[in-house]
Amino acid sequence: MTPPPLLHCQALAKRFAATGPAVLGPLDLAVAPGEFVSILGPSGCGKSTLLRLVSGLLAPSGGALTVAGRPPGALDDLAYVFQDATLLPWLRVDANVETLLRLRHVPSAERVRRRDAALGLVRLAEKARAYPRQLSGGQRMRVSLARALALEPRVLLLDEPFGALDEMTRDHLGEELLAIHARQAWTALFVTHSVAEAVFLSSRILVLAPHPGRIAHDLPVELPYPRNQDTRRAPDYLRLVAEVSARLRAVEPAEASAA
Amino acid sequence: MSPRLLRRLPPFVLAGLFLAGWQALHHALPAGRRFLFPSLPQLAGAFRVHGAALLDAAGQTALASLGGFALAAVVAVGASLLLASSTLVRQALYPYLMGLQMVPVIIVAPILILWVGPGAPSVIIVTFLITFFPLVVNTTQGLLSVDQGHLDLFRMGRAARWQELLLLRAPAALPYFFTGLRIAAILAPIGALTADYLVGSTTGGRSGLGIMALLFSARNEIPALYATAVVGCALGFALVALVSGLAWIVLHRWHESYSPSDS
Repeated sequence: MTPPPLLHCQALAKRFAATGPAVLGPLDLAVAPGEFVSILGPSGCGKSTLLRLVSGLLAPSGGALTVAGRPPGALDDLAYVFQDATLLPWLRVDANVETLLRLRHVPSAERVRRRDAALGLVRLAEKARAYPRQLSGGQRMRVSLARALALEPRVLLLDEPFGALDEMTRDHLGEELLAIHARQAWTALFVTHSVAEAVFLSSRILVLAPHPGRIAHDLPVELPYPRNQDTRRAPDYLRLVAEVSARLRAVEPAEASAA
Repeated sequence: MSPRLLRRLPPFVLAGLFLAGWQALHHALPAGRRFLFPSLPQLAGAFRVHGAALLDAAGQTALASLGGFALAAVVAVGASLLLASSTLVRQALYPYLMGLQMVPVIIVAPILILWVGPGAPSVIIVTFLITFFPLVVNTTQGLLSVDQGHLDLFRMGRAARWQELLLLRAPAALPYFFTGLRIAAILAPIGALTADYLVGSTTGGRSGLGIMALLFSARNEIPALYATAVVGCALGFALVALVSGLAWIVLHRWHESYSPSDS
């Protein structure tokens, strides 16, 4: 028996002006608990819009969207990781990780427990007293991830979180993210531009097509977890990367692929 | 000589050249006009004679500067919070703020004397008027210049308005506030001195530097007038140093204007 979907979109649509063209949808999607879903697509296909709709930052123009059976604005345990680390530069790492808990008035003892657990997960406990500017780009992103994990979310929304990092750091963080995912039960929606990253991380890949944004392909990634360095050399992995790349190229508008 | 010592030398060399130039300028003037530009020994003489009085006056002016300055800082923070709260409030109030800065002190002075009489309170009010504008403009700018990513983060976190203001906008505005404070620190002693000159009082024999300047120019004591200028200048430097020190304490650990490499 399949579990009920954690995230459920029915004919979800978004237009920014009342009379303007649809940016996204109508789009149907069901994501089960624990899935790691990557979203790929050319720019302008509404990837970030979809994430913002799920987060409740944007209100849909049409259709229905529920997270754990409730409208997204009401759900508390949903966390967002942005492309930039967006750490508050005037706070030390530990206080940064606590920021969102503080906004939600989590009692101090509980705040400390969750903070230390989250910093442990991203292996940055020893940097708790550092200021963000003393960290490398990869470390900052790990703090940002810890801040989201401290919410103990059921759904983790990641908007190109490793996009600004070098490839080595990026691969490394991907592996860490999977290791954390293996220990915790959250569901991930991961927006990325990198096909290789999407295949490596995900249990499922959505390829979006633009104008308006819609799901062109919904592909399962049947590579066994845990995945590691060897995964990146496995024939199945390489075949999937090639296949997803081809599908992505097919939905790119002609002028974009020529550029 | 070690390179470290060599690097510290230029300011001292320049100071020496400055003093030598000063002395040379005095001697370059025709003998009948030399009184207009006192020599260094004459200046030293003025300090010997009037040093105690000047120091006391400097203390008075320093108090007035700090008073007006602190008042301006407190009111500016409150006003900035109000101004940052909405575009409508900003558009409505801004002309009046500009007006406050544009009313010439020389016209406000006689009105103030009528209202509160000559003396320290008037001096503080004038100093306040002069330092308020850069403080409020910079602080408001700071409260509004918040990173969009941080705003999204706070919205995702369902932050209340007061949380956004207290935990995000206020700390983000600190560097801007200190920029305003630095400008105000330069203006405050000038303001207090001018105010003392215009609305000061000698009651109780406690006068500020403005009154001293008035006295010395009436008595035609030119070297003493120069000495007063030097003291006023030193006061300005002291206030700027105080503000820079405060800014360092608050900002150096996290703000990019204090990079770890050049500490």
